[in-house]
Amino acid sequence: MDDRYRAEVEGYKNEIDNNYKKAMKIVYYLLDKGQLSMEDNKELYMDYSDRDVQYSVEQIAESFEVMIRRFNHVVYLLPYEENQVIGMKMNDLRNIAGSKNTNVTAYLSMYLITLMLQVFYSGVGERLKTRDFASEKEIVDYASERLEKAASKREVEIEEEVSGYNVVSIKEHWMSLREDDEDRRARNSKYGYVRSVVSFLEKQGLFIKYTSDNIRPTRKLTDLMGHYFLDQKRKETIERLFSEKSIFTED
Amino acid sequence: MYQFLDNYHKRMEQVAIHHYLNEISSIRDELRKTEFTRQQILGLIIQLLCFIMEKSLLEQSCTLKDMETYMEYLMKEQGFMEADIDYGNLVNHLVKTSLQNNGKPYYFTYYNFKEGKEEKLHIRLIEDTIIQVDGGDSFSYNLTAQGFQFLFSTLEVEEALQMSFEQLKLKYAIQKRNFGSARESVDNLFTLNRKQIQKIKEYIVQIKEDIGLFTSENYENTYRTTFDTLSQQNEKHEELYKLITTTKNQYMEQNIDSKTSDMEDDLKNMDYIRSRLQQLLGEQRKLFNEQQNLGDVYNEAIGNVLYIGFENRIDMERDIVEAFEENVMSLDGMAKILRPLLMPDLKRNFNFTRAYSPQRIESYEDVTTEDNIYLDETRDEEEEKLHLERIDYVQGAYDEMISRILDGIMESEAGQATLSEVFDTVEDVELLRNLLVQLHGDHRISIKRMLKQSRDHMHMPGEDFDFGYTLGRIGQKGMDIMKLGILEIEALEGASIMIVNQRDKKYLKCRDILFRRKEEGNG
Repeated sequence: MDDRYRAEVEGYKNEIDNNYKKAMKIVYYLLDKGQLSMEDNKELYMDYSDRDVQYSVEQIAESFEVMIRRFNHVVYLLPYEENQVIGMKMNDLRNIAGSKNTNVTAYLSMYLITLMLQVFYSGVGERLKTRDFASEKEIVDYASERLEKAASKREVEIEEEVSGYNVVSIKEHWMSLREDDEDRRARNSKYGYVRSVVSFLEKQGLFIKYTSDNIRPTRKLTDLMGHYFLDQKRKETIERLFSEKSIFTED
Repeated sequence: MYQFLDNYHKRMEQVAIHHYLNEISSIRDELRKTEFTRQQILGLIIQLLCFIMEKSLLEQSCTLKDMETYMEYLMKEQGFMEADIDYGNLVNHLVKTSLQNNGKPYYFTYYNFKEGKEEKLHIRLIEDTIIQVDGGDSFSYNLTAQGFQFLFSTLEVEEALQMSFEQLKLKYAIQKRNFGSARESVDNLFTLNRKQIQKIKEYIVQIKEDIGLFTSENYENTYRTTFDTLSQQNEKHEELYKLITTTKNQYMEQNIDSKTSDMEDDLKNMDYIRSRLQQLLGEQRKLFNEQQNLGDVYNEAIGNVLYIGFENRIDMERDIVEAFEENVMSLDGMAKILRPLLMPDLKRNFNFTRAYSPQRIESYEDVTTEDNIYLDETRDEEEEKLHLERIDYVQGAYDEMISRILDGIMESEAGQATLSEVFDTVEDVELLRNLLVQLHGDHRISIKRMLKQSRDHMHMPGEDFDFGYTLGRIGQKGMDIMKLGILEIEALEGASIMIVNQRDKKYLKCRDILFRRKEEGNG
């Protein structure tokens, strides 16, 4: 009787152990690649379909402060906003575009990313994706138009200050950039900025650029936007993150 | 009061599509440069939509190349005999510029009486998907649900009526033994049925894509009426099948002795009608079997609470873009907002190859290595010398600033110092800013660990600030930094200070920062 009981417990422990091993492999794979589909790795994908393994994956994900979820037959790993270890940091994002590493170029890098997202996923209206493709020119024009508007909305005293950069100085920096420099492929032109941002987003698997007038979001981006990024439940978090005071005050 | 305005929005969808086709898509500059009149262009657009619909119905891919061949046929058929027509170019303009509006979404604004507010209708007749052709990416075009609805409305105004009409025609043609006409009717019926099935499939896709479009009430209604109608049609088709079977038997009995060529044709037509009806019933049966699936699709979509219906989405422009424009200092916040979309990128932190390779402070060359074509990297000797001098100056300034902060802490009895106590002027506020960004981002630093990491790596200093590197340098100069244990950095609420540049009028305004030391292993 005792032996049978021991064997049962042993079997149960082994099963938990195996599930955890499988879960760890899945999490490791996701940390490396960011996503897992049947085509990527059939064995791991099938393992993930096991409910017990999925439970273990969720537990590991929770302690790693990431979210692991399957959307449209692809498993994705999404670092939470406050994750300090896993996921891109401001310093990684500030160098995407421009030829200098300043707060203004850092702002423009992230600003262009948000505009690219908005152009394809407005979050308004019935359809999640509002269009299929866009051109570099549209993104450049849109950025110019928006910065012009944003700068004219705010009455900011323009001073020669280092930390207190503001939307006016950002607009001025943007407007001072050359319109395009197709031959030299300069990084420090308006188109150079957009190209660098698109190239970064391509490496992230979020966009595909076929030609300069044919830039498209990937299925991954559509999945992430539709299942998480645009969730109104994030609104409070977003508001808080925007209001978190930087150590540098504006005036 | 005026109830006839309740469904006004439905009419406006048709009007909006017509407006888009007449006023936007058919008057493109690219097309106006051709020899075609505006009416001819409109005709070509509709002919192209019919082709895309046919391909969609047959579940075949529809590439620009396919449309080019079709366009060549259209040109010849309609006598547009211009010698220099570039069909590929023409199709490209018609599809991308006219029908896809150069990728830009098109909205038609109208007043919705039912909702009591102005609304925008999104017009999108076709969409594309990436397919693999000969091992490469290609685009296949198909109609959207709205495109199907529009195109059906140009011909199959009331499909149910049309279906009944064709069924009736077929019935009379069989009864009157006009099998040639009956054959035509069964083909029409077959096409209509196909379209209906396609519509249901579109509906399934729509549910999967955007559950927010469907309330359970309108889902139930559409679901019920769709299958009620299908069920009624199915009964009629079964009656027709029985009718053609008995008619054929009677026909054979009555003409048992004669064998004419007419009789041969009639029998062929009857067999054709029977097989078509059989096919039609088969397809409908298949759809009935999928009926459960449609319900499952809806339930699954509803069950997947993570999917965000359109009513519960963030307004990207208002909540993120405008907010970022208003809070230009929120670089950290914005990075956090974007973080879930971006890859974990652990290699940066944990890769052994990287750890043992010559270290340098990460700059944009590291992040975007493939982009280096954008840069002219060549530097002549003079420039190189100036560059090295600059780095010496920058690193020297970092050493000096960090020494001031650490001295401040060590001299204080409480083991802490604030930024305002240590600095009122500084040689270079830009460098101080770099330093503070880095320290503030780290919050809590173990000096021992930082020094160890710094010793393990070979630094190639640039203009960026690296705390470990600077600590190593000031340690070599004789400061007993190991006494510090752990360094904590905290921005103080509400307090704002100003530090002025020694050289010019530049200044740095920021929150005051507290630097505090703690014993290792103490909290």
